[in-house]
Amino acid sequence: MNAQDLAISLVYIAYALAVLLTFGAILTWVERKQAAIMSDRIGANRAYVRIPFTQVKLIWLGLFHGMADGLKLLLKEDFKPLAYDKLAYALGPWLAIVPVLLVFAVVPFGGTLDPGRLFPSLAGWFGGRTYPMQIAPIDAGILIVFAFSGITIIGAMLAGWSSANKFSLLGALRAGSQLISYELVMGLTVLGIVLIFGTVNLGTIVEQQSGTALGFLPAWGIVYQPFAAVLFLIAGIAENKRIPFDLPEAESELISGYFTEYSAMKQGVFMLSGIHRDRGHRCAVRHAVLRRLQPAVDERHRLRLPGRPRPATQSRLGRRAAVADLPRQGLPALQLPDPRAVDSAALPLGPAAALRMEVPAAAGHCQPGRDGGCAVGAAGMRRAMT
Amino acid sequence: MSLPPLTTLPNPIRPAFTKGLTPGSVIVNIGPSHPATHGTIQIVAEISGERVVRTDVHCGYLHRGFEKECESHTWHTLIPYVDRLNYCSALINDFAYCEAVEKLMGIELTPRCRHLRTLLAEYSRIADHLTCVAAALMEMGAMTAFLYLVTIRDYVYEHIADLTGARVTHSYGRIGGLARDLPDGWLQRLEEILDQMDTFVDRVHGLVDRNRIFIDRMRDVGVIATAEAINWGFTGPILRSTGAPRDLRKDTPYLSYGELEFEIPVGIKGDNYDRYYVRMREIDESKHMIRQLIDMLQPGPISVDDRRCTLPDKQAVYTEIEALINHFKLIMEGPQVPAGEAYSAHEGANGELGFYLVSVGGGVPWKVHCRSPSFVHMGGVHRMLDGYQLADLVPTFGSVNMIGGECDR
Repeated sequence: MNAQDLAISLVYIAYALAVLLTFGAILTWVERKQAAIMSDRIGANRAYVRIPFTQVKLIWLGLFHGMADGLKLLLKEDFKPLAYDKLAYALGPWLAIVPVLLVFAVVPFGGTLDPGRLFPSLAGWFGGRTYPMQIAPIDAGILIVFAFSGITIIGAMLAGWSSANKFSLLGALRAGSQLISYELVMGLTVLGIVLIFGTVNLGTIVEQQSGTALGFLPAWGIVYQPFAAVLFLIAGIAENKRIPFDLPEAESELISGYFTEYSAMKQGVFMLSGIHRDRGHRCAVRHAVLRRLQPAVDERHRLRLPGRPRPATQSRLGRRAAVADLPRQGLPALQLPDPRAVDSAALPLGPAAALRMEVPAAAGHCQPGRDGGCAVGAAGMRRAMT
Repeated sequence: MSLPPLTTLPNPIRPAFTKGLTPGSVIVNIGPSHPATHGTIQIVAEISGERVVRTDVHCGYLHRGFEKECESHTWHTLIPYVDRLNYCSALINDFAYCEAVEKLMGIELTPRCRHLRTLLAEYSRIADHLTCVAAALMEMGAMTAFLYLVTIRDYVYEHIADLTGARVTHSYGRIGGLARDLPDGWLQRLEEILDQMDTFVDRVHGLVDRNRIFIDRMRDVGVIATAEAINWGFTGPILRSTGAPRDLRKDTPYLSYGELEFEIPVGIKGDNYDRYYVRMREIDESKHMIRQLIDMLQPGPISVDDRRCTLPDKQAVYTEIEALINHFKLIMEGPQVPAGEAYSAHEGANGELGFYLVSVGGGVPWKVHCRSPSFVHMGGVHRMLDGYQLADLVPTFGSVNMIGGECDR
C-alpha cells in the first residue's frame, strides 16, 4: 500500500464514520418524530442551539435532540453495579459496537473514484489510479458482513453475564437465542442472492444488478428473490431487537435486558450499536444486494422512495406504518443534481453520492416495525432520561 | 476470570420459598423497584428458563396507616384520605365511604345527589378502566394505544376538575350530599367528551382487538376459573371475566343503579384478554348509564337538610347565631354519628370496595376499615402468574389493576 492508497482509505473511513455517526442521530430523530405523529403528539422539539451573543435559538424541528442526548450520555456518571466481572463488563459495549462499524468497511457506497479527475491538481500524484468507492474491496464481502455482525452477539452475552444481575442474564440469554436463530434466516435468505449472482463480492453483485430481467424488470435482487427479501427484512428487525422483536430488552419485564446495569455512554453505545447494526445490514445487504446502487439515479431525481414490500410483522398493532417519506416528514424536498451531469464512471465523493447511498437506507431503517413502535423510541428516550 | 461473590443486602421480606424446586431454577426478585410493579409490589418468582414455576407476591410498600389515621379525624375530614385509596377513581371511594356514614346516621339522599353520585361514579369508573387498559397496553409496547386512551382520560380529569377543583384526588363527597352543584355547561361538555371517547376507544379497539401480537400475549394467559376466583375472594372485572355475572350494582342496587338499564359484561374463560374486554365493555355500559342519568337529573338540592352533617348556608353563618354554632360544631367536633356499626360496599372499578365503620357516638370514628379489592386480589394473584412465561407476568399483573393506594392503605 502506498501513500495514495492510504490517503484514499483514510478519506473513505472518515467519510463512513462521519456519515454513520451523523445518521445515527438523524435516524433517532426520524424515529421519534414518526412515532409522535402516529400517536397524535408533537415529538422532539425542545433542544436548541443558541447562536452565541444573540437570542436566536435554532430549534430546527428538534433535530438537535440527537446531539443533546449524546452529549448528556457522555457527561453522565458511569455507574457500575456492586459486583461484576470488570474485564467482561468493560469489553461488552465495545464488542457490540466495533464489529458493527467494521461491517461498513465492505459496503460499497459509490462507483469508481478517479481522484485525479476530481482534483486535477492532484492528478500527477495519483497518476491515473482509480479506486472503487469501498473502504475494503474484499472478495468475501457478504461473508465479512455476516462474520462481523455475528460478533455483536458476544458483546450482548458478555454484557449480560458480567453485570451479575439476573435480569441482565435473562436478557442476554434471550439476545443470544434470538440473534442466533435469526442469523440463520438472514444467512439463508442472502444465500439465494449469492447463488443467483454467483459471487459474494458486494461490488460485483451491485454491478450485476444494473441490467434488466425478462426484458423490462430491473435486475434487482428483490425481483429475483422477493420472498427472501421479505424474510430478510423481518429477520433484520429481529436481529436488531426492534419492536416487536425487542424481547432481549423487554423493558417492561427485564428493565433493559442485557444492558440493565450499564449507564451513561456505555449504555449509549449499546443503543448506537443497535441502530448502526440495523443500518449496516440494510446498507450492506438490502441496499447493495437487493437494489442496484449506481445507475438507478436516472429515474429517481427526488429522494422519494419507491414502494417496497413490507413485512407482515410491521403492523404491530394493526396500524399501517407511515412510509418514511422524508419530504413529508418536514424535511425540505431534496433535489439531487441532474444525474446526467455526473459521470457515472467518476462519481464525486460529494453530498450527492452520500445522499444517494444513505437516504434509501435511512428511510428503510425507520420503515418497518415502527408502528406503535414508538415504544423503542420512547423507551430509548426514557432510558436516556434516567 | 471468575465472578466475585455477590454481596447483597439481606432480603427484608420473608418469602414463602428460598430454594428452587429443581436444581435448574432461579429465584428472581421482581420489584418493588421494577417498572411493572408500580413500585409497591414485590414478586419473588422462581423461574426455570423463561417459565415461572411459582411466585410469592408481597405487598405493603405503600402502607401509610390509613385506617389508624382515620381514628384521629372527624368523619368529614378523613374524606381526603379516602380519595387516596384508589386514586384512579377517587370519587367512587368518596361515595362508598359517605354512604357507610349515612347508613349509620340514617340519612336519605336527595334525588339529585343520588343521580349525580351515580353519574360521577360511572364517570370515574371510565377513567379508571381507561387507565388500567392503557397501562396494560403500554407495558406490552403499544405506546400509541396508551396515548390515545390517556388523551381521553385527561379530558375526563380536566372535566372533573372543573367540577371538583382537583384532577385526581377530588375530595368531592360530603356526608349527606356533595361539595357543590354542577357548574354551568358541565353537562354539555360531558356529552362532548362521551362522543370523543367513542372515537378514541374505537381506535384502540381497532388497533388491538384482533391484533395477532396482542391476542397471543393475552389469550389463555393468566387464566383463573370462576370457582377459584370466588374462593380467593376476587370481585370486579377479574371475577366477571371468568364468566360470573356478579356486580354489586345489580346484586345490591345502591344509589340510582336500580333505576338504570345496563348489562353486566362477562368473559368466557378468565384470561387477560377477557379482563381487557370486560373493562372495555364496562366503559360502554358506563357511557350508556351516564347518558341515562343526564336525562334523569332534575334540579333540586344536592345535600340533605340535616344539621347533623350538612354545613349551614354561609350567609346564615354570618347572620344567625344558631347557624354559626352549628357551623362550629360541625367543623370542630365533626358530624355526630350515633353509636353502631355499618358496612357499605360499592362496586369500585376493581371490585367490591367496602367500608366497615364502627362508631361509639361523636364526631370521630372508632374504627374505619376498608375492604379494598386490590388487597384481596393480591392474595390470589399468584394463581394467575404461576406456570406462565416470565413475559406474561407483566400483562397479567397489569390486567389485575393493582392500585397501591387501596391495596396497602
